[in-house]
Amino acid sequence: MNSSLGLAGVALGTASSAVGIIVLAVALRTRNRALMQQGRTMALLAFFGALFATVIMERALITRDFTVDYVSQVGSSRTPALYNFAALWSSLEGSILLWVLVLSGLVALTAVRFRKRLDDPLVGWALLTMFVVSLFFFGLLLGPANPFTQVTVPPGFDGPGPDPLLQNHPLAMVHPPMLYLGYVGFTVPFAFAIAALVTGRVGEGWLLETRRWTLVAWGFLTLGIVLGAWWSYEVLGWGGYWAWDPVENASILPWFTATAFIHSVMIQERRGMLRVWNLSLVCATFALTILGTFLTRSGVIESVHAFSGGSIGPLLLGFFAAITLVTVGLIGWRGDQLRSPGRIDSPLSREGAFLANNLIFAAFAFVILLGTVFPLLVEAYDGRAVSVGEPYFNRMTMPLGMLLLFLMAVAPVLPWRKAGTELLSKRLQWPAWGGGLAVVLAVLLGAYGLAPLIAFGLAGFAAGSALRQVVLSTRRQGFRGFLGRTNGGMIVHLGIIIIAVAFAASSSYSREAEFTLEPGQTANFAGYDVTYEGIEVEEFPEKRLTRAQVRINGGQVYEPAISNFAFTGRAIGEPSVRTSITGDVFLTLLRVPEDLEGPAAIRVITQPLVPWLWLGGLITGFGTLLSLFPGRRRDPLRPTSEPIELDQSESADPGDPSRSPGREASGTNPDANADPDGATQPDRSVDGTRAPIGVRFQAVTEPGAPS
Amino acid sequence: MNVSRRLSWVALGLVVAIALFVGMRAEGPRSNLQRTQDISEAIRCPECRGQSVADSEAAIAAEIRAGIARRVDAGETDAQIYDFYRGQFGDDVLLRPDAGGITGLVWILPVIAIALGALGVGLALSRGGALGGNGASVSAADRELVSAVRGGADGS
Repeated sequence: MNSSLGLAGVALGTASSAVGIIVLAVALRTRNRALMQQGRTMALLAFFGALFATVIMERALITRDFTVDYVSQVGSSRTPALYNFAALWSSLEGSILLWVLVLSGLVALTAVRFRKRLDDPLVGWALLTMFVVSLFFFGLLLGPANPFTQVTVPPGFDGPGPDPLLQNHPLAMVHPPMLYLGYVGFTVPFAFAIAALVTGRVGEGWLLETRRWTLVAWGFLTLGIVLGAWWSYEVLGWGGYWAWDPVENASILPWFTATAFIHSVMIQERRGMLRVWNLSLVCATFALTILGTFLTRSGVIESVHAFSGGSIGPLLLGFFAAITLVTVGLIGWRGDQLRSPGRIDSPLSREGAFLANNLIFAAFAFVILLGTVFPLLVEAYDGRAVSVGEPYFNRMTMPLGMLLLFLMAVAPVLPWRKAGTELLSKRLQWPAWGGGLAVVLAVLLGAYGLAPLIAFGLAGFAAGSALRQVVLSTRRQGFRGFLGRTNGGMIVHLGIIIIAVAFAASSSYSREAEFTLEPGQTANFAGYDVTYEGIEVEEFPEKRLTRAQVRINGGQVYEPAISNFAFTGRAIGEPSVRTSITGDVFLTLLRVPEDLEGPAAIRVITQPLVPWLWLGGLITGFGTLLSLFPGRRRDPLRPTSEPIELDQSESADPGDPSRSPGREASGTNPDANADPDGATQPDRSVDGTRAPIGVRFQAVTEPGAPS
Repeated sequence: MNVSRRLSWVALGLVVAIALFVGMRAEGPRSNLQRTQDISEAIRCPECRGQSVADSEAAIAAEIRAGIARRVDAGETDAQIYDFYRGQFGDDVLLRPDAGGITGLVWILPVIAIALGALGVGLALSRGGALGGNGASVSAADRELVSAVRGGADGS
């Protein structure tokens, strides 16, 4: 019964997506505006199908209907209700179902959001693209990843329940949906990018349409990654939060390209440049989410996260190849229209910094992709088995991270177009002292070693820069200055800086040791007294829990434990963490002692600043939220592509009323150095005017402009 | 550059240099515990899926950790310890690929890619490149047009 109902939902979604593609294709071809409106109906129907299938699957899970294949794999009468609910996304088929639900929800949301513009070909093509993606994923549910297959089970059958690792901590419930909201969210900007290429409207329109969608997807992806790190820290017994595991790498790859996009998009909005690059980044981000799904869902790479394969792998790889081909083909086809009208005047400018930023993010993505697939490449080449792990990734990404911190410090104070050293010296003075103070403070607190100290210094520098911008914009506009992309971006920077500091500190100064202690015995380690007090055993329907009582510094008792899951026979450690803002003491019980009265083996790991990671994640999410508000509009009459006099600016008369605003930022004469942020001339711009942001005077620099 | 600001930068440089010097002196030689930890992070647990012996809770990982600690205490060098485990479990027990041979590519390729990328951006930025000057000239008529439009808007 549940099988047939669920399958009906999937079939409805598949059919609606297919019909949606046909309807929109016909409508776009015949320019039938009335027909285009039908796209919305199809989107809503597909969403309804996916929602219905998901509800049915939850019903099957809750009622433990083991005749449904997926339930017989991950369901169990012993699983507590909440983890049973979350069992939906604990294995391959269910996680594709969740993916489909989020995806079709987004398609429906797009159709509703743009309901007044459904007859616009840009929106039509975007919706069509989204239907194609939906059809693919619905197809997976009908074919190789069908969770609703009917099976016959013997009477009294009880399933194994979800993977024991996924029923140990509530974070296992929130982390995957967040991640999927992020992954799937990039379908919207991707669809609009494709639509822009197909319709030839490759200007800034599609970017502005999808700005918030991209930010929301980015925010969810970031939160998903941070929550995943938190989950692994709380659940896996090794005191780490990031292991450069292939699945973690797969999630961070699109994050890097998306972050690069969020930055470089500003060059295009402001200056109309980098069109090809931005389209490529959006498409690469989407393609990487598919590639990541392939890597982790097809079983080609071994990982603690990977689900075992089935025939889904080749399909995902084929889809990835198709996306890449279509994108490259379209960009090649539209090549001539993608030529940028503007130019970058000087590397020492906001544009130049964004370019450097993009280079580093691309390098990050390249290193991680290469390291992840390298063992596969070597094995294909000469059959040798090699591993690429944490030491490689840490070594390669550390210098890139440092460079990023440095850019985060310098870039926010750079004006568009061109900056001089005098201007930089003035604006960077206090942020740089922030960096100096950070180094001094770190040394006073006992930090040592060149690399971490430089990281702390750069972090302080970058934080100073971000704070400077926040102070300037709130001083100028009061509370209103807190909202908008410019300021939100700076808050995001602060969050990322905090994460970077936590990463540097916890990986440089972690200490671990293993002790075998008799009850009542105390070990002293890294300044902590760790006393083992005894052990307790508790029986649950699904597991037996063995908890050791460990007292830290004579204070509170912590209980690292081991769960033995009866059905699978697996033993899962449950660490216990004494957490504080300065650092954590992480305890694991290494094995269940044979003699419960006898000695126990306990691992102690101390790491500074770990909670800063979660705090940084929170601040990043908050900053993303602020960025969603419309920011202060810049003066639409200030041309940003007007040529500036690169070599004559020194002689320019600052009092000349006809001087171009672009020249103000050229930075050779302190008086002419009007801060483009408006810091020194608060009331200059006509802030209140809500002119369309697209107003530009690019024509003056366009080659062949009529003269 | 005005004098007081220049002084401030020099002072900052001095402060940072002194702090870094003190911070580097404070770093003692690596303790045996630290070495054991570093080596265990670079050796893969042979029975787990992609975890180092430092991260794994498997019994064999605990055994190898203890073995590494013993060897470190016995005064073996890092290289000797890596070679021992490589001999026992094969090349893929090492999580840090060799710098030589085919695996050297994983170290070299990113450096080459970054250098090429930087070169590409540099060329694009230089005059005549895709992002540099494109040879467009602005005539007096263009300027007049722009200032007329802007002037008109400013006045209204």
